[in-house]
Amino acid sequence: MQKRIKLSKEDRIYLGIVYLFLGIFTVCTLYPLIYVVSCSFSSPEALVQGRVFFLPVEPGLQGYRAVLNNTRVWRGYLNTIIYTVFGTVLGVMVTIIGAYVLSRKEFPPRKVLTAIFMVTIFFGGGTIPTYLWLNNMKMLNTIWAIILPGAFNVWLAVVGRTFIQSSIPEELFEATSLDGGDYIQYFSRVVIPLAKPILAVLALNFALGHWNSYYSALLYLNDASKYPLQIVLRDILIQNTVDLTNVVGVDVNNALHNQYLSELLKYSLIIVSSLPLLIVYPFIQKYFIKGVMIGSVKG
Amino acid sequence: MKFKKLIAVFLAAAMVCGTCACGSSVEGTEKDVDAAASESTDTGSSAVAGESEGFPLAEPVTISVFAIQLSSVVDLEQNTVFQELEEYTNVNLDLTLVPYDGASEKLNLMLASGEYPDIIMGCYLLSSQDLEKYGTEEQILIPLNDLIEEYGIHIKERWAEHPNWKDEMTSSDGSIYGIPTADSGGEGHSDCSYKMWINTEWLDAVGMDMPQTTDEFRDVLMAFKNDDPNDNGIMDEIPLTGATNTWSADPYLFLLNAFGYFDTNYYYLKDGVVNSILDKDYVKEGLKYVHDLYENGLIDPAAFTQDESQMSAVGNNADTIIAGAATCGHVGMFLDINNSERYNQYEIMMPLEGTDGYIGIPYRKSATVNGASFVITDKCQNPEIAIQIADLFCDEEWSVRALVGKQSDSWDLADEGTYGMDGVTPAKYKYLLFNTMVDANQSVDKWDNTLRLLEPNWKNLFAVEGDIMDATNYEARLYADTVKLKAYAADADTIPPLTYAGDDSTTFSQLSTAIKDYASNAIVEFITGTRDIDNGWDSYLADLNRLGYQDMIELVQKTYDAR
Repeated sequence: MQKRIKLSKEDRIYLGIVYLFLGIFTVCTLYPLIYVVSCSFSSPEALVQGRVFFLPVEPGLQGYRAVLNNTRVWRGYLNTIIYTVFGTVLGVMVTIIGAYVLSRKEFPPRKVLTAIFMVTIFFGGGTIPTYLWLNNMKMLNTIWAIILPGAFNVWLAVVGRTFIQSSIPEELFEATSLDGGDYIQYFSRVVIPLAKPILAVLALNFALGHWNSYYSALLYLNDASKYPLQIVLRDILIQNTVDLTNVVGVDVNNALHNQYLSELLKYSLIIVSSLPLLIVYPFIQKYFIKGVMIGSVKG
Repeated sequence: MKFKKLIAVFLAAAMVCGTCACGSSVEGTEKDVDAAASESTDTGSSAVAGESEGFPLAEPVTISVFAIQLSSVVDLEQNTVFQELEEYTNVNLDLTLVPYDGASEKLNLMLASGEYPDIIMGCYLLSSQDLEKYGTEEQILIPLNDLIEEYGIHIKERWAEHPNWKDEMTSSDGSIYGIPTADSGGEGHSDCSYKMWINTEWLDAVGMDMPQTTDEFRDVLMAFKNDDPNDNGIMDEIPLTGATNTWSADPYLFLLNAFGYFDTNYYYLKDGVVNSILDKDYVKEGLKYVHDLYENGLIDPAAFTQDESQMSAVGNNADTIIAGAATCGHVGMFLDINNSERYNQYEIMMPLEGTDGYIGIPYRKSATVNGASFVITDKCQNPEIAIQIADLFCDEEWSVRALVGKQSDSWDLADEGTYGMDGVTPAKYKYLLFNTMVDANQSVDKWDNTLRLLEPNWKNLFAVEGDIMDATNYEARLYADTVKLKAYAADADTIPPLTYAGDDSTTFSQLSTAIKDYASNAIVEFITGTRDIDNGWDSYLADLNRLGYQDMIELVQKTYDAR
């Protein structure tokens, strides 16, 4: 016999208001997304005339066809995937190892190392020295210039260290030691399996960073065939929004060509570039929830 | 088990990384060998090249090039202009490609690092300050004077046509460090960019003539607003619109010129004297006039904030026309020129006569060049070949090839008795295929702004056939409209490109940035009424003074005199 508690009138009004607010909030967050999707499927004429508000107008695939016919977009896509996968694997490996070392209290230079690492958060070497350094290391114009310099992320290492210290009980280390395990075995058999949530956090951070990275590729790569997607996208989108105020002459054929190209591609490019992350996110998201839960119940 | 799996994953990852490392390092060494090999052939062949002038070279030569990869052009290696250029010259061009956005940062970085290619090219890429810095001061760029004297046949032809260009290209130490861009001889529709486009059908609908004075223009806008010229029974008309941060689309640029000379340099030259603009009473009068239009709802409030694409959404509004007039450098920024019905309705409006009888519009009277789009660095082993490549693009043949396309594909020789844009010059070519807005493919047979140098006026050699209001004759229409404005050219002299010596260069850019920021804000504030013109004018003048407006004028004067 389960009886639902009947809601009082006040409760119902209250709930109604809550749902209304939530509804408005949902619309506010969803609308831009739907708008972009709708625009990407609309005809360019409708876009230019500002006729798209909610649903696609004169639906078609012109935008997508133009994107997919653009060879540079495809190669940029492939490059971005390569940089993201390798950059993430390398970054997570290096950073979690660093985090583990920093988490061991009996490691003597721990404080000094932490201090040294922290300095790099606030002071970088500067663009030109970094460029010269990469040049001397013969890493310019290779994948290494993109994935190696940021592989050890101090901020994420600190997050990882805190996680290991607070969420993995020290007793486990004692237990491992009693069973004859050393530091490396403790790390690989105990810490890594228990640190999955933080690994997910690291992976997502690195992946996101590499997916969106633009500036280092711009500076350190010289071949158009190595450019990641973001450079290609930005280049297509930016070309007609150049500040024309100081230009001496405007070649109208050129200007019109670019104007049309970017109007057509703007929305489909946004969709094409963000789709993979939109798809991947739900699969990683469960680790975030787990990550929040861990440590909340202490027993 | 799990541990083994993990180890396996790590190992696999390590192996992949390892092979990558091997792969790239092997590649690297191979490239080095290649480079070394080509260097040795370079030195071997330069002697040969020196003997046999002109293309194609007897022996192939490799020259490394810094170039901009435009998104509207296919990969440069696949571009037929580039391929034909390599074939024609027998020069192997080893490209370092950078995206358009960020090209100058990348260039500065490469020049600072000491690792840079033989040639650097890109339209308007280097400013005259860059030439001073990398040429006069750091000697990274080599002087071209002697090379041009010996090899620059077409460059010298252009100098003969435009005697001022040689001086404008010369840096303060008397050397020429780079070759600038002059779009079709630097002449054409961009001689005057402050243009107003007005809907003539609306004028007919409200029964008014083309306005000639500021008062008449106000009446016309009033009628546009109130008399429902688009005949749909709703007051949805926007009498006047525009856009900001694009090519001369701010509405006040055209309107303030009805009261006195106004342009966004905020100074002008007259008989050797540099004059200020912003502190003049006529600007105050003009702002009052524009403010009055704004107060009465005759100017689109969005015109001061929206960008070009938002303005074009107004111009291209579906079904009904809602904009009566728009200011912008060319009408295609405002509406789709392929929509011929609408495109035909908008005509150019002549400059308005202000209350005190002044009439005029800034008009460039002679083509000037500045900065550089092609430079040769001290790494270049074969500067005489490099300059000859540049010289090709100072001639008609390669300019047309690179910007229009292939013969009998995009263009062909003109028919007898046809004329160019000015209606006088007999045409030499005609367009077969004209790119209008509907083409979103990347160019294969043209390369847009990849490289443009001192061009002869080739656009004028293309026949104008059929109605000038056809979208295919767009440039001819703009040119014809611009020529009409010439009669109203303001009484000011064209300022030659000035090169500020040493510290003056920094001082000038600091002053002008601050003043441009302040002035463009203040003008919009005065127009929209957030700042009262009568009460705010004195504090505005004080601010200008504080920001060094007079110092800037004096600096320009000093540099002009020292020229």
